[in-house]
Amino acid sequence: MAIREVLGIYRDLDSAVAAADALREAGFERAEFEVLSNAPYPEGTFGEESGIHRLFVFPLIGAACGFAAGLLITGGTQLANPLVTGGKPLLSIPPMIIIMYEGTMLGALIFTVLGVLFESRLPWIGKALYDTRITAGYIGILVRTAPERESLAISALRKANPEDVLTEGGSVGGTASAAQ
Amino acid sequence: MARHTTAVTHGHELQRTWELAPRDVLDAGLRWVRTLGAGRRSVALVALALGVAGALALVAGPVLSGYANRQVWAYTAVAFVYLMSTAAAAPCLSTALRVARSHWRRPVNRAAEVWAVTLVVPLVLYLLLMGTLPGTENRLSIWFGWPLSPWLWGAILMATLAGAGYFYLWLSSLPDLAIVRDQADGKRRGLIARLAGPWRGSHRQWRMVEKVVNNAGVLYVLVYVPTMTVLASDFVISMIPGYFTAVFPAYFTISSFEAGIALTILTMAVLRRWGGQRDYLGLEQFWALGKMLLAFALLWFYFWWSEFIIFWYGRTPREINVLKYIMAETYFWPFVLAFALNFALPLLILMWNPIRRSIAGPTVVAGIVLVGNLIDRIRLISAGFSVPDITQHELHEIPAAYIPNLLDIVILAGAIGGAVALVLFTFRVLPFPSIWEVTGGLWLRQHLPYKHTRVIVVGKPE
Repeated sequence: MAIREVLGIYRDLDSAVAAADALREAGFERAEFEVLSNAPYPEGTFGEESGIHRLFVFPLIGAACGFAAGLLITGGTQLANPLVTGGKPLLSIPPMIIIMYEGTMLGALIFTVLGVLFESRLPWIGKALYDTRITAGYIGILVRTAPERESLAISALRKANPEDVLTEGGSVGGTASAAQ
Repeated sequence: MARHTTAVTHGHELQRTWELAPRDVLDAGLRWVRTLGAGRRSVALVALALGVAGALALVAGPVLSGYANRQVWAYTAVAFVYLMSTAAAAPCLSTALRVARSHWRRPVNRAAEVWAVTLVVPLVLYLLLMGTLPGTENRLSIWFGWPLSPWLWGAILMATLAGAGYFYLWLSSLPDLAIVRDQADGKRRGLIARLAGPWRGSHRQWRMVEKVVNNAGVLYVLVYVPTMTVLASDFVISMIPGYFTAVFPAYFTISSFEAGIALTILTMAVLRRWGGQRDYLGLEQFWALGKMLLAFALLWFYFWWSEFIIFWYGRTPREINVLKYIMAETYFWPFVLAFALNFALPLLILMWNPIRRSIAGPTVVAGIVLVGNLIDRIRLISAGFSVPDITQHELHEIPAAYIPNLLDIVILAGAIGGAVALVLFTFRVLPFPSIWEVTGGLWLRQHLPYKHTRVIVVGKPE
């Protein structure tokens, strides 16, 4: 199904929150729009619920894989080539711990990087409306919806006094230009 | 839950940052990137020149000499260990402050974690120094003669640490890099755009950064501590016959944390004095870090004493020779200086409330600690690299002290200069203060009247 994007640009927090409220009143689900800003707002500022994320899983899986690799390299090597030295135990635990720890940390690190890339959708391979004014302190409300609801999104965004409203075709103007 | 800050009560002063608007922070950060003063440029060039001179000295001296005589590499190892004890330790402080979730740390974090950019220098030095480390078969070490130790496993640890450090720095800088990508002039956009990627500041991305930046920092600390433990063993303990100690790795790591705090304080002082960052780095930050510096100075003594007392009461010839070598005779004056500069002077200065509650006091002590840590590393590494036969069970003859030559000094200065140059060049593209962190804090504050005064209420959303 084709998805259209509409981006409302707001000068202040109150207008942006009003836009989010207007979208909800117009029947848009919270999953249909997202807030873009140059600094983090506290969770729930725009009425969003605390979503489920799986970030913690990535380092855990990585650590488990790294530990297993470390154990395989150290313990596996010694068991595959059993050379008893001076009557000492076959498995030399202290150096095994160091190498298994290294493997655990390396695995956790690599999987954390992958988790960040996956969970934050970086690199973003799809198209997404964006405006550089967002990093200048403006707040963006990005709506992703069906083509037939695009005009509904535009009118909802305009209710909250936007600086500008952008569609994939370009700017359709904020409140002031819409009134003209 | 809210925290109150009055204008001036019990020595607290109103942090100027809380009076600013988010726009002020954005402008300050962008101004920092856009305007590179002549002073900053000339210091960066001098540091770079030092770095180049150090690299040339490294090639002319140790590299061309080869690995037959380990003593030639002593000051390369000192440079490596000193950077590991200072620049690599500073991001650990940043992690600790993030985990504590205080608001005053918001401008401090970048001053600490920017030093992670220098990790490439110790990594390269370690790779060069691998040739000076003998195999661990037939000698006492932490590796118990494990195949390819210490080289392969040490290199993996160092590479993991460098990777974790760069990841941590990149993640904590990502939102600000996107600001520079969009708002700075075109000259720097190519590199910054690549580093910032398609960051848009969506709710999902913010949630991810806020959660993962802490995890990445913790991961860094979890790699840093064992790395320092292994380095303490490979470069000092196993190099000095008869130096059987379990406390030294902890001493080595704790004293590095002390130096990391000192480096952060000194960086803050430089940014405040010459970087125009008075609005963000005030008394609150210096006072808080001064307390931490005092605590770690006391820990320095505690760990040193814990080790010393065992050798002192043991009194076997082996223990007496080790004490004579690294403390009482050969390296007596470096030890006295290290003791004074890492513990005694910081304690005697910072124990006074008016000095601790100032900007100059912690800054001066930070400088003292950084010098003290350097002398301590010179003492330990020179001792480790001056023993002719490290396969003995104990020292039978106490080696002479190693006196550095001009090349050694240039190598040491070059490594430090190269690290400083890397930080200064990074600050050409990385805003100070951290725009997203300081702005995020400002959005949580409110000015409210309270009886006859006015208070700033800062919210804690978690």
